[in-house]
Amino acid sequence: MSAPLTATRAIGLVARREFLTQVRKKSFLISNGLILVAIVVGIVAMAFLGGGDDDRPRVGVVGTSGLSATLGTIGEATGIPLDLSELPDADAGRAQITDGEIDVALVPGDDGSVTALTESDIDSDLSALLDAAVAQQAQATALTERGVDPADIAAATARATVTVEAIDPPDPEQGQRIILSIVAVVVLYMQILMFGMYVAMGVVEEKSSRVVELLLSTLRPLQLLWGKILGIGAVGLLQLTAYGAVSVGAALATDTLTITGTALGVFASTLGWFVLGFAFFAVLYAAAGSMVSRQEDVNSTSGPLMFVILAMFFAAFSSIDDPEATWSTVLSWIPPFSAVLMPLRIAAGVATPLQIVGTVVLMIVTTALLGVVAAKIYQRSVLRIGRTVTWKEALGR
Amino acid sequence: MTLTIDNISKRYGSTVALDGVSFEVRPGELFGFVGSNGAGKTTTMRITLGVLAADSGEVRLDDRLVDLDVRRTIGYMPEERGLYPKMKVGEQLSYLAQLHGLSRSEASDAVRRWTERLGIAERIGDTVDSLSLGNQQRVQLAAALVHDPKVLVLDEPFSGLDPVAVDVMSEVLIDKANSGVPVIFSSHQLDLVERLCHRVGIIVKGRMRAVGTVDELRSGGDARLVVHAPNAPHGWANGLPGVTTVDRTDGRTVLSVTAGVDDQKILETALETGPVHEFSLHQPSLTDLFREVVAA
Repeated sequence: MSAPLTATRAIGLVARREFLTQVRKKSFLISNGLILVAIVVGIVAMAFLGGGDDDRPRVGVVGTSGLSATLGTIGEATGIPLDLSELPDADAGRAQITDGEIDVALVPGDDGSVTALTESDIDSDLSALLDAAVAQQAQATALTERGVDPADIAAATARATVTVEAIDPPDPEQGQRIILSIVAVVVLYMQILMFGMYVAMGVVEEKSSRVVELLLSTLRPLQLLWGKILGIGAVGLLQLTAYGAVSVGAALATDTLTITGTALGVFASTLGWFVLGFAFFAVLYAAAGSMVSRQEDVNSTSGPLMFVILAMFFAAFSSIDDPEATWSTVLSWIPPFSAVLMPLRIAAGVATPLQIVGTVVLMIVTTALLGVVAAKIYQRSVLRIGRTVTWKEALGR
Repeated sequence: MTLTIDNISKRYGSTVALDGVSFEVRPGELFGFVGSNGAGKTTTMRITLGVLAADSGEVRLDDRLVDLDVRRTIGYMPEERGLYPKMKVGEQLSYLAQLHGLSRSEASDAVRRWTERLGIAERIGDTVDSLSLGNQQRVQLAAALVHDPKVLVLDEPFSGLDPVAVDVMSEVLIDKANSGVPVIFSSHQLDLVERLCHRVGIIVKGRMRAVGTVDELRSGGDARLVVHAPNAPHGWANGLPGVTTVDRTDGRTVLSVTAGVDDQKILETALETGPVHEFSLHQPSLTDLFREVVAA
């Protein structure tokens, strides 16, 4: 006989078994492999469809007049860069439009007018750009004919532009921040729900297979409870880390995401809040699991938890648009709502350090208190085989 | 080491499950724990293992109260058999051994030793739910033995075993007891208990009604005397003090005789009625004693 088993080693042994049992499951390995591949494929596909040069209007110009250069300059200035090419004649233009090689062919007439050939219609922005370019080209030609250098005119009018001075400038990162927020919320929702359920099912498995009686002759209920939560939580954290690392990596590599610092920050805060949110619900799920004797009855006692989680995520989705609304700010302090509202606020960039620290402390304290209550329920219910124990009975006395 | 159950009581609401249960299991002793269903055997064992808490009373191993550290040195086979169905036999036994305080290498040695001893060594890499019921029972026994326990507490270890497995189990229990370990087990197979156990405890409705060797239990009770005197009239023995007629068929009379009555007196009375072809004292079996105790 070796030295007496310490509480740490007891919890460690239980956690290790839970972790290994979970990660060795074929279903776990296969589904996660598929999800990781899907993440990479999805992000790469998004990068191809979304960005790139493909959406630049392709404009062909007949002849070698200065029109091409003017179009290029104005296009850059107005934020509509063009793909310009040279055409031998109008017929070649028609042919290329039919083949889909270009969108518009410009055919200058003898009197300074220009005909634009296109498939069916020209986008109004592009149309205005073409008008401006043709007018400027005509102006320049006219000025040159009258002995004025167009460059002088350009220099004289260079300063005559409107500068925008915004009182509340839009955050250039806002679009990406919103996407990050949505991803963080959805992922947290799925992870907390899934791994909470794993805890409940693990508890029921021990109860329905009766192995719990053997375990409780060598372990305190609290050791078994926390060992299980730690082991399953570690699997959840590993899974989330893998998802996050692959997503952020792929998104940064394909330039789908450009705000590296923010993305990493959101990733880290999502991991942190997963740990807190999972711990909060895991102790409750363990209690819920201990109250039933068969896997198929788990939903009857874990239903209320599901309801709270759903409420949390509805609140989160409602506050994505306006994370600074009063109700959202108030709710984000209240556990367990903080578990999903805080990563959202951190992603949106509206959480103060004080709030982050405060909500984390509140969450930890609440979870510790709940852990004690849940262990009581667990202890009281886990050997009661047969009829489902109700929440009222479990909490009574 | 001596396992002492000292005045344990347990109530469930208004039902009294155990009422001042006391007995001890001595070093090297096989103790048979006998009682009807619901008499309190499982509750007593669960309290011994700390799975349930007693309302009053205590359990000691020698002079030490049985706490978590002591419990880890006990080998326990619960009435409700239970193992992780999807976990491999070897991993499962090693896990349980480590929970009882063995290091990982000690655990794997012990697993190898006990699976060989119990004839399940070749199933070490299979999941428990793929084994036959009999082999699952052997794994369950291995789980109780794998940490080299100082005490064995087995709830119905023989139930559901085939005759070969019963022999293996008996042999292991005798071995354990011979090595000085106190062994307590419950069973409804009273002939087996009578054959194996040094001492027996009978529990009835939460109270210990009898504790001792089978001989000691017998000496307290009435003896059975069978007399075959074909010519003897009905009620021929009724006049004798301490003697009651239990049964009479075909000239054969079964008498219940209280301790201390002179059986030669009875024989004389029988001979007065004519020939006596049989005059035999029947030692009550444990089953008889049990019926008597439960009925009393």
